[in-house]
Amino acid sequence: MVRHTARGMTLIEVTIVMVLAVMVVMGMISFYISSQSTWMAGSTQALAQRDATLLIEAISDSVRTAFMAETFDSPDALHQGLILRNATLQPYWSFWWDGRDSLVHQGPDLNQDRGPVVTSRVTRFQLDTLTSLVEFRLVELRAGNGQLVGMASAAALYNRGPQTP
Amino acid sequence: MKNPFPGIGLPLRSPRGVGLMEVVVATVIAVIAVMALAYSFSTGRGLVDRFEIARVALAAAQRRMERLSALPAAAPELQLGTPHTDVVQVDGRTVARESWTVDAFDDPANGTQAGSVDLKKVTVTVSWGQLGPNETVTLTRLFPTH
Repeated sequence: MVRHTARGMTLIEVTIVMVLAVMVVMGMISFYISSQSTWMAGSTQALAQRDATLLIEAISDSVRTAFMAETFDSPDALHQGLILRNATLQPYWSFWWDGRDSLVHQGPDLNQDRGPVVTSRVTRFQLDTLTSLVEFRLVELRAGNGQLVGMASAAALYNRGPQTP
Repeated sequence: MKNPFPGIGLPLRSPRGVGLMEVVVATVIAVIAVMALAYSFSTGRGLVDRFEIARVALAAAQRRMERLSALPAAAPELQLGTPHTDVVQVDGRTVARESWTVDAFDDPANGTQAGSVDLKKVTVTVSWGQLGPNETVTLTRLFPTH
């Protein structure tokens, strides 16, 4: 049996079909946008977590080879820098927070910047130095979706030598 | 002339239209597909969150291990047998619990009498959540006795 009659569709039928079609399309677009947003949030957060781990590991590796470490405000107490010294107390490597790009940079000294350690923006970079230990009090990175990823750790100065008190 | 490829070149829809049952089945399949997609997204997001605390816990375990390695061998934190516990805090918030034990370790290759305390085996465990097997990080390291 043929459903459509020769008289075609009325304006009411067309309107109802249009409204239903618009609702379905809007639902699909909404679902797509929501899914994409969730995907992006998860991906950027995972990247920030990876960068936080990478940053701490990179600094820890350098700290373990140092004889002495000292911190300085760069430029305030929420963002600091770290100077590593060798057995002759000469500074040979530094890490510091740069306010121009909110990244942690590294290099032989502040005038010889070898670039950022990781590409995620760092909102807080707080360190403490003890006699033979560097404490990462808080390393906080901002993910692309604005969420903050905080981590704390420590690294010992294994190259401190037998004269360590 | 007879069509050599029956079904090709003809209109897809038959004149009778689409039955109610077909519409219902198609809708159910579409809903299941969308639900599966939404579930996979939420599962992925849950994994990202879980690994965030796992990374924090691993960093905390490494921090404890590094702190212990910076202490003298006679420090109370490195005494044999006594279990130690503490909370893991990040920016003042307690995010996990940590505990560590110090056990005697006999180096089998150094030629001393069996059972002698040649080294200290330090085991640091950081736990979070409901303390399930997937919510614990354990690190072990050997320390000198003097």
